[in-house]
Amino acid sequence: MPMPPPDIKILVVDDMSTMRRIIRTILNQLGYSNIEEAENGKQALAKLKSEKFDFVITDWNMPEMDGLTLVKEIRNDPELKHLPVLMVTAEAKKENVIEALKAGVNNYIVKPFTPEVLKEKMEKIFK
Amino acid sequence: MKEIEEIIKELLENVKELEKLIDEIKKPVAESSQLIPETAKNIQDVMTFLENTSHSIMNLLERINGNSKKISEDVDFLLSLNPVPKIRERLESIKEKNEQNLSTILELYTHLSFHDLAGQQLKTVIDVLERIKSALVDVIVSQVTAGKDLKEDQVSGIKGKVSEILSRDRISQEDVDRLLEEFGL
Repeated sequence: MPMPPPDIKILVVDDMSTMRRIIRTILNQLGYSNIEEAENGKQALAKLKSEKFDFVITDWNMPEMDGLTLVKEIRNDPELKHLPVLMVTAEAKKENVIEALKAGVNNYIVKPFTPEVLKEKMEKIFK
Repeated sequence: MKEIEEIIKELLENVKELEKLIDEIKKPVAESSQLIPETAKNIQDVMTFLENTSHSIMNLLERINGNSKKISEDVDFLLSLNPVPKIRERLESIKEKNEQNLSTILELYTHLSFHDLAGQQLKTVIDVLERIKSALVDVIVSQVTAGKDLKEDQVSGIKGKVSEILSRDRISQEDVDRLLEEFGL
């Protein structure tokens, strides 16, 4: 399955600096370098409204605005509603996955994850 | 005007009485109420330590990663020179082992997400501490208001005051006394 082009602009949203760095490093390893970061949903939404992004990778539990609310905000915004969103979270219960899917995420990864899993999910989202 | 003064006097008397009551029951809960913010701070310190350590490990891994990539480039260069079969064989083996190392470094890197997972558990502990604090406020309020016919908003006011005291954001007894003095009490 083909991966999205390497020049896509990706927004990584996580309140933990280590997690943002891990995701950024894995994305670099997969050939992506046009990456920006946000510490919570509120910050992410502001960035999404002021710059054009092609893909969002977001955590669930964050202060100010959580990932689920961010996804709902994206889906309710006419300019952003088609933006692919991948949720990367420690929430591993079945009901969490269902809730995230209902909110509009394109795919779901449970932490901790491997680069292979991220690659596979990105391929599925952009196929 | 005199009526308002009477009401204020009554209110201030109530405040003084409340302060006295809280002081009486505060002692046994003081230790636990002090422990809550202390414990929350300790947990926060652990989280910061974990974060800093994780970043230090990542820095080291990135340094190893950089070296491995340089080795890989050098081996590719040597292979491009068409070495004799024995040397080529060794170089290819080095290249293979180096690629395995690069992959292991990335694997180690992803394992550092333990910081995020541990952090989420520690945040849960901090939330529990906040709930304990809230329960503690309820216990104090129920003791202060026991046997008194108070309205809901009065209980709510007392709750706010107790919460302030537990947060150590209270007016001092001196301030209360000064106010009382102004009203001749």
